[in-house]
Amino acid sequence: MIIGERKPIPEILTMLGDSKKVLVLGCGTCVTVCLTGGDKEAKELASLLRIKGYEADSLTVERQCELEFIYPLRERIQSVDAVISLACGIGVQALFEIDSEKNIYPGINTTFMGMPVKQGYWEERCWGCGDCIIHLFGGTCPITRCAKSLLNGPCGGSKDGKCEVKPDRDCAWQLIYDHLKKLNRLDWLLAIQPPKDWSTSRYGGHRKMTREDMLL
Amino acid sequence: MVIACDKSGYPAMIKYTTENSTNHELTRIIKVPCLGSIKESDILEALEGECDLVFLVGCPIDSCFHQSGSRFAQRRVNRINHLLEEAGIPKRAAISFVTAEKISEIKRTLDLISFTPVQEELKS
Repeated sequence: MIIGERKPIPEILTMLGDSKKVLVLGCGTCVTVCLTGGDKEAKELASLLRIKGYEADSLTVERQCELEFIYPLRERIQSVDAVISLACGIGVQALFEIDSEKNIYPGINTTFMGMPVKQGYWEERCWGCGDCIIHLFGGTCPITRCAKSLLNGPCGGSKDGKCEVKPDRDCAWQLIYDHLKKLNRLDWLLAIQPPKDWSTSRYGGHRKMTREDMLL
Repeated sequence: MVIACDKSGYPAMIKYTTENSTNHELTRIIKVPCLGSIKESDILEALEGECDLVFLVGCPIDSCFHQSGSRFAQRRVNRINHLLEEAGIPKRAAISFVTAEKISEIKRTLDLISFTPVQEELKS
């Protein structure tokens, strides 16, 4: 899922400027699960804004990143001075696509694609590099989980199975070794991985995907 | 406004208000089954009006009738106070853990709140 963190409230207030009538728009998908921008958080922010003197209301849609979910909100959006979107950056941009003249502000910082490892704790798991090779590494992505994104073995700096860059995280290559050992596939580690082609990732520019059979 | 659980907090508050002619302006006492049922948005909603302080009173953390209600409530109160502070709002939530036999904690918490800079700011 996409993980985000709420922006500091003073930053949100600065963005709002002279706006008086504000709609706080939550998203019912990823940011609800990471407890940043769901219905509950939208209500809380709207409440805080009302205490601050704004005429604020909140609303949550199933997915802010899909136009069909936010088209029905056009009139509601037009009736306010500003919208604080608690969705990820995709949701904020989708709102701009339906009303580019409105003051729409991001209420959260979109941070990474990750998973809830335990209650109240999320960790990055995928960079979206566009060329998945997780199966070669026993189910642990070295691109994301190794601080140095190494593909041909550990850097040698880990200590007690922990990363030398971020000592509170497991060393990805320790996990890879442990998993492959369990699979009785340590021989896979002998294969030399070629330099990664980063053109499929963000470095290749703005990406897109098309399903010709689904186009109207 | 006081929100009290019906197992410990409410009986303690009734005893406290009966025994003490207090200076504290406790305008409303709301009885709930457990403080764990109080969401952050409930507290904020209460603070939207003229209420300056929401005071939660419940079972001691380690002997909450519903096991974790008081613990959850304490976390929520801390979070709400952090949000209010971040937003520069001089209103607060407070929480006290009591039993009907031991109500001194209520007075201690209320006295503590009465002398915080926030309350002084509200009074002025």
